[in-house]
Amino acid sequence: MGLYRTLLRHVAPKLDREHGPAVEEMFDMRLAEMRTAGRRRLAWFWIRELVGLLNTGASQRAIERRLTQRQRFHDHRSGVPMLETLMKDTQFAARLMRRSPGFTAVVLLTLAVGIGANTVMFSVVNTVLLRPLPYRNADALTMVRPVGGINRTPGFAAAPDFYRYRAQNRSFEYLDAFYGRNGNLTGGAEAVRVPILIVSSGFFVNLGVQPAVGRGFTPDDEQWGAHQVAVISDGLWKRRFGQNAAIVGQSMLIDGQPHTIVGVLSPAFAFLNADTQVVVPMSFAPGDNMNSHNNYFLRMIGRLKSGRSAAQASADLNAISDAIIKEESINKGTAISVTRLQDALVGPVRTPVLVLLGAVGFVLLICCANLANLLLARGVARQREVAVRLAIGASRRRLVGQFLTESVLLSLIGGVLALGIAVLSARGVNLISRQVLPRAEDVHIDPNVLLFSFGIATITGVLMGLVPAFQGTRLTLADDLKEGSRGSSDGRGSRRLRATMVVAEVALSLVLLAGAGLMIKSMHQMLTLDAGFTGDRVLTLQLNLPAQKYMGLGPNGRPSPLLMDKAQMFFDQATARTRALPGAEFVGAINGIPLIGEVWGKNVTLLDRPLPSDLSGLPPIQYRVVVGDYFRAMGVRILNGRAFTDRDANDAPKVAIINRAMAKRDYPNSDPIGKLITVNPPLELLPKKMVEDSIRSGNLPPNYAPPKFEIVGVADDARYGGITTPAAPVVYVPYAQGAEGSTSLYLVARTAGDPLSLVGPIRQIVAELDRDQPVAGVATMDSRLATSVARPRLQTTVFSVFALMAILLAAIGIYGVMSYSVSQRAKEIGIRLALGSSRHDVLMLVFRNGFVLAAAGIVLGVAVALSLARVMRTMVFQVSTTDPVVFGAITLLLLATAAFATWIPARRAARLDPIATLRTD
Amino acid sequence: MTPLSDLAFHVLLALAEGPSHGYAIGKDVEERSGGRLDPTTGTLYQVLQRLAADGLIATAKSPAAADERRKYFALTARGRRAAAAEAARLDALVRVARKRKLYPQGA
Repeated sequence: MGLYRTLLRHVAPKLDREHGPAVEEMFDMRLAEMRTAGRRRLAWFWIRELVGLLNTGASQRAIERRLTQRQRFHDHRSGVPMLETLMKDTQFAARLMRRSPGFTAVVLLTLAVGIGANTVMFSVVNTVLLRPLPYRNADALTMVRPVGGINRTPGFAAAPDFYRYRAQNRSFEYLDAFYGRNGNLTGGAEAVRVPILIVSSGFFVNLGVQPAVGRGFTPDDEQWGAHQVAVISDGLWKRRFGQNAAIVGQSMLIDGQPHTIVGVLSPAFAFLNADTQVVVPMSFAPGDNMNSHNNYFLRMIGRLKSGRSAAQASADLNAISDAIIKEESINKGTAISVTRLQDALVGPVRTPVLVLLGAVGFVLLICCANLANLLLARGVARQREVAVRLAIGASRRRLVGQFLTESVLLSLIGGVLALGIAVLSARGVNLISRQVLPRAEDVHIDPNVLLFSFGIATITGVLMGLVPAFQGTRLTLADDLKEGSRGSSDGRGSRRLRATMVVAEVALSLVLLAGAGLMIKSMHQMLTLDAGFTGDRVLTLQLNLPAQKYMGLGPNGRPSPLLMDKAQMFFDQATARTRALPGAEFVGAINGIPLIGEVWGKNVTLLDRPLPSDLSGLPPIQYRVVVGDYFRAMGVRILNGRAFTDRDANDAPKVAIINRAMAKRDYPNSDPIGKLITVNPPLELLPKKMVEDSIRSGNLPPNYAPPKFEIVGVADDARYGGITTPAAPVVYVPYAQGAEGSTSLYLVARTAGDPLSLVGPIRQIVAELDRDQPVAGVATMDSRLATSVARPRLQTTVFSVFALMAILLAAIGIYGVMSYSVSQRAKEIGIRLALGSSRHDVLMLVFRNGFVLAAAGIVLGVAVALSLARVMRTMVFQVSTTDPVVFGAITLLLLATAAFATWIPARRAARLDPIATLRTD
Repeated sequence: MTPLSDLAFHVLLALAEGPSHGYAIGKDVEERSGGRLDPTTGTLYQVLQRLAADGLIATAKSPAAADERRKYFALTARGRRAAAAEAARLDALVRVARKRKLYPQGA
């Protein structure tokens, strides 16, 4: 039987008995009709129907009551409309609040903090997860990437493949590629290094973004020769060009090449998490190695055609990809994944954000429990008032309504205060780095958030007021009109309710403490693990040399990766001169330092065994080229053999160092020292056509054979991919012997004192070597480490704050309940003392009561925490979600807190003067 | 007898041309009132129940082809008289409005 019919049976049983099946049939027909009308209308239909049901139920009951002719004075039958009653109740509630300002203040403060925290978390959820990206019809935008291997690791596409996808796909209105690099802006103002976004021509139209000034790109801009145009950011326009109105047509030098500025982006433009300053069109010279299957570096954005789904687009592109694999024998094992752009952007933070929203919801529930207890206590004090009103004929329902109005009113006022807290906190959230929390800068209070805030304020008011309202109006008349019965209705029922609240609070706070404890331990694991290098007092900075200037020109007139002398000399000089600075202990350079990611993937050929049958059989490695004393500078230990020396120069025999991961994988049973490898595939394995083309275009000399490297050392594993990414196999090669066109290195300097003190002198050294060469990415390894753990650290901090709030509230709750209980039982305690109980007995009695509550809460909490633990699995690192040490510690913490909170009232009970208590009423 | 509510009158009108069932009555009411009355399932059936209890409509036999849960309703003689009475009442009011120049003739 359907939902509607089930509800009908509950709400309007008489109608159901007479016409049930017919009503259901009519509803089914209406539902079927609405299903074709779209999701929004369907939702409204359901809402209207359900509200209509409630109305029907209510009027049915009204009819029945009229028919049974009960003689009672109901003021809801007076015909006064509900709104007027509500207003009267509100007035009364406001008067009550004014009369007990202390009580009201405590309640409002608790509410403001609880609702405020929830509002802020929701505004984060709203912005980061719910609000669509700032592009036209952002739902149709997808991130398109090749994925490979068993884990479907996202990778990058090669340019010729992109052009083919773009030309042959049938699912996208637009498909564009992009990649980023950093470039030097020179000429005019000082040289500065900026992030540059390189995009195919349809990019802006694809996103639906119009430049604020000038134009975007056209397909002509992709032609080599016509490609030297640029669109700049609003920030760059203001900072570097003084917001010059005649900016369109001006020229600027990017890496020494003049580019004409054709447009300026609007200030609101943001793409992914980067702070893009310059956008240029993607264009390749004929025969450029970048436009070949030697280089994979592109990601793509696709706007789906209307009516097409991401799955269909994926299948479409996979068909093209499979054709490429078949025709050119490359890219084996690659598939194309098409995911909604918003998911690609915020995916990594979705779980943590939702978990935090849940956590702050728990805090609010604990607030509700505390407030409910407060109201329960106050309800006991108002019993005489309630008794009188019932005696003159008020219906219980009206009184419950009155009480609920009071609590909802309190809650709404608290909600208004909460908004103030939320607005301020939102400003704080805006300051969080975009890398840690995508779209953090965009978080603000908008109508959705206001609606949420109003909603939870109302729900909180109802939740906290429901139990006290029913409890407070449950009375037998005679008892409570008697003189001298102060709170005699603090019977077992009321006490049990308060006890239940406390148990629930303790349980909830234990769950939050468990989460916080797990995350703290996880942070500890992250910060203390052996990352394979020693980062303290190590300075790093980036030197990115322009290829045109520092690489020799090959026979085809373009920079040749085989002619790296000028670059090598620059780097050698830079490291040598830095080494000579006072305070510098060891200095080296490398193309990719630990923690920044896996920057250069290659495949290694092990010459001590037979060749695999094709390219996909070559083991993958990360490739690193090294200048100077890198290993000692970064603190990477050499486990076996030796490090590189000055003698490992261009003309010397070629040597390589591998890391422990590679030794374990490729030489598990033998000593790698002395073995030979190459880092470029032997020509036998490459597609013949590709080899012939490369020789013809001058990229490869004829009779080329990849040089052989002898392994001379094994280095410790360093975490290049990130703090939580285990080390991949790495091959290190001296820059002089295997640079292969890399002109971008990180200078690494280990210092005796403060690493940042070397920055100035190093800048000077670089300026002396090349006036136009900027220095970029200056950071100590310590600060890089801090950045890499920034997101987990933020999560842990926020969660811990919530857990702290929870335990504080729980402690206050326990204290409040025990304290109240003692004052209610004062007479009983007085009698016990008078009859001979020792004060110690009384103390233990009270203490035991409180302790039992706390223990029950802890047991319940542990059970809930263990079952919810799975949720946190992706947020913790190298920690089991049921870690006994963590659970043990928080249990002890809660027990101690509960003990302390119970101790004070217990001592007060033990200090009672029996005579005084017996004397009072 | 209490005066017919707006919705009840519309239901009687819908049944004037022959027996009908809940869904169709609802559609008819919505159309005839120009969308002003759009009763939910519960509300409409409550009116049907009350009209049936007051004897203005009665359940009628369903034609064979329909869903077996479906209930058909038809006007009773009393129902016809009640609808006519209501129409007369409205007519009289309209005439007064016309006489007092609140409502144009022949509109």
